[in-house]
Amino acid sequence: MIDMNIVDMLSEMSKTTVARLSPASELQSDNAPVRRAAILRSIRDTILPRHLEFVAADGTRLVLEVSSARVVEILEFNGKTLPDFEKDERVFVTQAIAEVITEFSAVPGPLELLALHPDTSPDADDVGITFNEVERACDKLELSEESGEDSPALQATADAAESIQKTPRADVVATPAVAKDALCPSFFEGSKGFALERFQMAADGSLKAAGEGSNGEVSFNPDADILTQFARDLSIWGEDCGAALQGPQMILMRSADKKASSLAVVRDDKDISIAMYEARKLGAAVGLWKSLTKKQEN
Amino acid sequence: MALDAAIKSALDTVPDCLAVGYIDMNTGMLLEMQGESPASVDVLETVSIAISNLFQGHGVQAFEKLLAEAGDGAIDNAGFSEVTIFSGDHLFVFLKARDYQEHVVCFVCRGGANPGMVMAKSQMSLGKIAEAV
Repeated sequence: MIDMNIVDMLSEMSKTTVARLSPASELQSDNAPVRRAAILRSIRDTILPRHLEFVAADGTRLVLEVSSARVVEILEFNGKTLPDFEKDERVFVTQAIAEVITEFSAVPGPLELLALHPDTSPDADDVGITFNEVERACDKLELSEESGEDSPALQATADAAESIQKTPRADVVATPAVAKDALCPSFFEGSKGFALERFQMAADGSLKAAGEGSNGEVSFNPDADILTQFARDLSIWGEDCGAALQGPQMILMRSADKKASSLAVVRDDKDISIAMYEARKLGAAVGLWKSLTKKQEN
Repeated sequence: MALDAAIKSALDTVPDCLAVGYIDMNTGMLLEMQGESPASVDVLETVSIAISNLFQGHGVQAFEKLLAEAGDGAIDNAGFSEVTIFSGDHLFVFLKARDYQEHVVCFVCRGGANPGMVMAKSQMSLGKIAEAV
């Protein structure tokens, strides 16, 4: 399944790839929510320090300084008074970023993005506002598909601002845990594409299924005692963590020798699934976990 | 750089990081910690007591040995040095200190963090923290 996804992705890329005549790239601009999502995606995908210049069809510019998927400065927007990232309250700055992005998204497209090296790298103290915080603040601001100059649809009400301030931080909000059933069997099946070896066992360590992985060889054979001990380690870990862990987990164990094989262990409330994989396949394990948990959330 | 400053720097450097702690697995004690909120520090304190099960458990160590044997057989290099845990709202990264195998640095991040960046940046921070000990 993963292989097919990669093939589809490469196929899509080859179809949509065009030679660029300018350093600017065009973002999806069908309507205001799409434009806002594209801006947020650009922030999320920016890891190295960059000035992101978003330019609307009428020349309106929004310039953000972004690093490590965090907004560390709003450099320019429509002559507005911009927040002071050093002095203003974090919640106020977050709200201001969300409002600026939302207001800019209401300006008709097409929307272009220019990513430039900043003149200076952000200071270590420039922690900025994380993508998740900005995204959550944006979610509180309504933006209709008809947004444009003639129908200003930005409905950033005082209520929305107030609700942001009253909302507890993400790290203290107990969001619903991912559904607990059937993750391990799915992971066991899905890991066939990248695992060298794979097992599925009950929470007490009794083996339920084993299968060779992508290379068809078997070189890793833990006996029943080892599996039982391993399951017991995981069980004690879960008990000691208590409420600090929510729902199923994926535990990735990497060796000090970075080229050595690694383990991906998925626990739900019934089973344990273990995949041994080459270190370079780490991304596949993470991708599988994300796709399975996303499916369960929907 | 002092340990508290190195931990604070790591907290600021790792994306979506909520708390960082330096753990002695032999005692389950946090030797130093920094967090963005009391809730994140609570989570850090809880997992610091539990993490020895994943690095020092008998079953885990048996798996380490088997993995080494399945690879090049170099037992000297055996042993998990990094454990990353995806769990609901949180992403945890535990890194063994290079010079003190019973010491672990723990990073508690938001569940929506970019795992690749969290792992890369936490590894980069480990050197500074180790120097500060």
